[in-house]
Amino acid sequence: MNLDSIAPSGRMDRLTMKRAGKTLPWQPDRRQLFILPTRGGIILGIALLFMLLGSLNYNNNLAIALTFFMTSCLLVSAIWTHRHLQDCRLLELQALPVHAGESLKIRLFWQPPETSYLPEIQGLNLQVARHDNHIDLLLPTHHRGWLKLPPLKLTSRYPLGLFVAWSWWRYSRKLLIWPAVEIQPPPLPRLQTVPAKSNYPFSQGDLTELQRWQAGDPMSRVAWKILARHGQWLSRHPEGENESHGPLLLREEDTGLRDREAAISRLTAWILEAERLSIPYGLELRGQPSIAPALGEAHLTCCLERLALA
Amino acid sequence: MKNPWRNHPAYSLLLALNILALLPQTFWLDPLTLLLLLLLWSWGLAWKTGYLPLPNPWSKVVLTLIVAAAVLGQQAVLLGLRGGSALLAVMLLMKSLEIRTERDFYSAMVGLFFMQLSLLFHNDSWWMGLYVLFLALGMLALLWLLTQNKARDRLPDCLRHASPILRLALQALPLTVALFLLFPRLAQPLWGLPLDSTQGKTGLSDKLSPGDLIELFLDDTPVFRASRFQPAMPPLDQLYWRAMVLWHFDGRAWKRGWLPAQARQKPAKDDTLRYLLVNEAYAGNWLVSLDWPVDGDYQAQLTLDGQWISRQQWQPAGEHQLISARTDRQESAHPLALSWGLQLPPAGNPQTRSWARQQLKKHGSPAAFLRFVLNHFNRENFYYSLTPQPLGENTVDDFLFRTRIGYCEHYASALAFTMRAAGIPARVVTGYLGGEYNPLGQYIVVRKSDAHAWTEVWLKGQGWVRVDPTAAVAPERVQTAIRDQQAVHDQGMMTVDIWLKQQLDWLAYRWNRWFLQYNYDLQRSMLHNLGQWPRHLSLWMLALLGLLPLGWWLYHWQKRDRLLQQWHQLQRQLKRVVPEAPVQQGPEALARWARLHLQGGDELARWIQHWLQLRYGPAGSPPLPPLPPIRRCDKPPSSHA
Amino acid sequence: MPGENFQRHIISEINRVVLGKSQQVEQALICLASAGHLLIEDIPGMGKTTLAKTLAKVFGLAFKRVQFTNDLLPADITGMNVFDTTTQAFRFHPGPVFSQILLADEINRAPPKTQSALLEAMEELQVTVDGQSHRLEPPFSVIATQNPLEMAGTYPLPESQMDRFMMRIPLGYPAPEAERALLERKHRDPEVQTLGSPEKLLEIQQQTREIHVSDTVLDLVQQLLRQTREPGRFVHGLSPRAGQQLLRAAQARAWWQTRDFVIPEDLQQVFPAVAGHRLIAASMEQDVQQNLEEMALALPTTA
Repeated sequence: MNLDSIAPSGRMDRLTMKRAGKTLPWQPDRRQLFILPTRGGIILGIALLFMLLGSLNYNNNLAIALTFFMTSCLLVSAIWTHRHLQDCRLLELQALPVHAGESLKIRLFWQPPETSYLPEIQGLNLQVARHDNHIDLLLPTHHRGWLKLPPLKLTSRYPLGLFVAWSWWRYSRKLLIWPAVEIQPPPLPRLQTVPAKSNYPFSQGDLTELQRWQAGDPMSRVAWKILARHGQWLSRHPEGENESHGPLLLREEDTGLRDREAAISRLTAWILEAERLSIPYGLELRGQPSIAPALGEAHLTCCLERLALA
Repeated sequence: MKNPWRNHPAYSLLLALNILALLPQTFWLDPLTLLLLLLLWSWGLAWKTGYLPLPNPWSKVVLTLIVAAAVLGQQAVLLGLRGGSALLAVMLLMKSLEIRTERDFYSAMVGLFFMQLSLLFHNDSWWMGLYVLFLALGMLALLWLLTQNKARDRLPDCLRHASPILRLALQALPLTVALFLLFPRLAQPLWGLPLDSTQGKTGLSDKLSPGDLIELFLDDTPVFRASRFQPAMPPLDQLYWRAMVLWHFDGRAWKRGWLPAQARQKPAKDDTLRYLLVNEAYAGNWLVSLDWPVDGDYQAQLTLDGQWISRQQWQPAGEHQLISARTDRQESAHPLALSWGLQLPPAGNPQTRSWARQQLKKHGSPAAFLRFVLNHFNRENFYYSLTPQPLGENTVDDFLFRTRIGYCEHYASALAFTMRAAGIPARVVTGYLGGEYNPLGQYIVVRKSDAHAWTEVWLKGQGWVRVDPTAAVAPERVQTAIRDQQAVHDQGMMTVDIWLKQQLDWLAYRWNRWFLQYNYDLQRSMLHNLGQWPRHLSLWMLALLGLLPLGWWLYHWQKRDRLLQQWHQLQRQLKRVVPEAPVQQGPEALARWARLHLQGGDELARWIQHWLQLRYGPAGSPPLPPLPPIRRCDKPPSSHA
Repeated sequence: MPGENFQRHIISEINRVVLGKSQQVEQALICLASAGHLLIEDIPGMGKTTLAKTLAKVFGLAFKRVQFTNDLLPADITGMNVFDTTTQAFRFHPGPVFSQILLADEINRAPPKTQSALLEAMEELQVTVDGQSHRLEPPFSVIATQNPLEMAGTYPLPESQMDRFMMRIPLGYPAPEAERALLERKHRDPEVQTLGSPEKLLEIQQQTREIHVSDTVLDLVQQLLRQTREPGRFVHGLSPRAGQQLLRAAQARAWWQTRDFVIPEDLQQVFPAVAGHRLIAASMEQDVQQNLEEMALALPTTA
């Protein structure tokens, strides 16, 4: 939409951005809120000035009353504009982490002062879709690691479009962007058997197709016959997973790549693959303590995080 | 290229506002201009409905020029109010034909603003005020529609949801009133250009030729109202409202002149008549007063021949306290008056001249001659009619000896000429006669139709004597209206239309008195009466602006969280008495602490409990008692069970 | 509502027996009053059993204890259908779950299937044996314990199951004076007086439900929930059900404080215990419990 305001551009933006809000939930306070007349406001203001001159000269009281009435409406509308933005609340931010290169979808829940006229939202490189109770922001990402949201500018011209009020909000929390995934990674490296830890007390030699039942394994995979016969909790694994004989330790050296970013991309791809195949995996990055092999969402998050911040 | 505004409700509203702003102009614009304006407007409508494209830029320029030329050609004076508003209308309508961006709407709105202003300059009655207020609300709605940007919706649906506009307008009212009353007014106009020089608003002009007044007789517009006569209101047929004295006759028209200013004398107290005159605005430097004016608060000079001469060519609506002499006409024989009073054109009307000389000789004294002429008017077949026959080259000869049909100005002119021809100084006076009594407001309303002309004749020993030849011809002219009113009054019956008329006029009278005439002087006296205000209004305004933030603060103070304030009060007191108090803790923790560490801590704990009850408990708890005194424990706390 | 002294009596009676654990006692009572289940996480020997037994005794509740082990079967908890030779028919033989307070010791030692049987009972107040449902009579509360240090051969409860517990509390070591008093005790444990009854407990549970909650407090609850859902704190935020439980717990605390309305301090007190076991830190450096304590402390107490 055409933002027909003369005010917030360049210098004005830089000046006012210093007072950006940083928290959540957030409601602009008076010092974070700026207001200026729009071009329309200036045009009508000048017209009113001339009307005032003419009507005062002839002391035509009706004309004077009309002029002052319109002037008052203009001024009251400025207060409304100010209040409209001040009553706008940003409540909650939800974002699922994404891999670098993907677009970050952010859902910002808000409480606009009313639903018939929603304040506008702008931000650098942002695609914005406003709804009654939330805003969807689409932000392209390029690098892994911490990402700071670009400052968002909330603008309102409610109710008459003669004044524009704006306020900046820049979230203080950073969002984590996972590393990019290599598109066609080589298959998982030769399995590196980890010496059995206390978690895996049984030898796996004679149970090639069965694994020790683990928390999270579906009940349908439990090998009930063996359970009945031997009292051991084991679970079956589909054909494709049979190759994996045990937990994997994915090491940076195994990628065979000199370039750090490429290596991290490959590791990321492997981790995701391993998680998909339910092969327990661990991670070892150069110069950092290794993460013991495991499976599950928490573990995956932990590994991806380690890679993102490496 | 598709113009997005075609189906936008804002454009529909703009068209509606345009036609609404044009509508009242039918009262004063000529038919051709109106037709052209209407055509321009329908072009906009045709574009909206899809019948016509918008004019391209070149044809727009040509069209503007043609229409503007045609419209202005219809107007007598280019820069008058009528010409100006016609031109404004053309520009507004042309602007509405080139809507491309939001900015074009703003420009059109500026045009609408000035159209409204021109409506008010034409007519400042209360109903026009209401009409323009309606238009102004429409403009707010237009701005609202532009901002809401609901391009799809239909106009009625949009307007139904524009009710916040009314709320906004209501909130703007107090500020409007404050600005209206307090914004400094101009003591003197910055420029004196009369708004409309072609047609004085009251129609009385400083020139009188046969047939001039006829337009006025049909016009019921009020000119002024008078009330508060002291000691008593004279009979209506004695109310000669004096406006101008016409001294100079050129054979056809009488022209105005005035003598030097007179020193205001105090007439004998029992001879004066005091009254209040509330006038509408009009163009001209003359002011009305009851014959014979003695004193008053007009900002004008009072001349020797009883005229008020203002320095301005435009008289705003106003309220004035005036004094007139009832009988005593103290006018000295100024030499200029005697020479002007005998002035005649070198030739023309030979028949009248010789007749006058003959009759004067026959009757001897000027007074007898005057009596004879008046009798002549009465006895011979002179008729009073508002539709006289046209007069030829020698207007007076034609009237006296041929047509013998006319109204006040014919008679006044003929009498003055006859007197002058006989060597007796005479002059024509124009003004108003009588008026209509309004029992509601107990005032007299004088309308344009009450315009009148009469003669004054210089008689030795008596001075200037008012002679109304019309009364000699047709006393009923002077008395009909009065009799009608008398009849109504006597029979105690009043038809609905008279009643309604009086009601409306009374409303207009209040409007004039309380609204239209508010000006620099009234503002000053009001502010003065209000007390010891600073002398400079601008300072006063600044003080007001300073008060606005205070009001804002007060508003917020009113709305602030009372309970929270009380909690802060507790925190402050605790901190003062017991600096180590854990004031940052929650209320319950603080209450527990108070029980152990403060003397009378139980009472404080109960207070806190009560506070919590009010803040978080179900509604209906008793109000909070005052904060109990906070005292430190003198001795170490006894073990608490 | 019973006299305000009732609450005080119960609390002091329990504290007489369970020494130096007044906060944990309070939280256990909150769970009980809001018909919730309690998960105690601590090493053995910290007095978990004493606490559970005392709670049961004070209210005169039927108490059962099950030691969860590797080979514990679902039927060991729920009970089973036994063929009765005299009647020539299957007869349902109720398990330990048919009690009023069930102490499930070291719950993470039992295999998931057994765990699920217990969790179903907790959630739905019924057990299903051979396709036949048997209702549990309220009041019914489970006090489960879990050893956080010993991980070998255990089956940690899945996160989704953790939601069934209203609170998770650590017991921790007693304060030195309390420990001294414990050591000085002549007998094993003093006898607890029974002050309430199962009916009384049901009445209390009803009363806590009716504790007034103002809009401000509801706002605060929502604010807490929102904060847990902010990115970068936890893997998943709290569920709406967790919000309900938080509110119930706050109501129960208000009841124990002899108040008939909830104040922000109630939320502050119960929030870490209610939220702690439902959340996973988003990154390794962050500690869930500490994060929650900070959030609770930041809650405005006079909003």
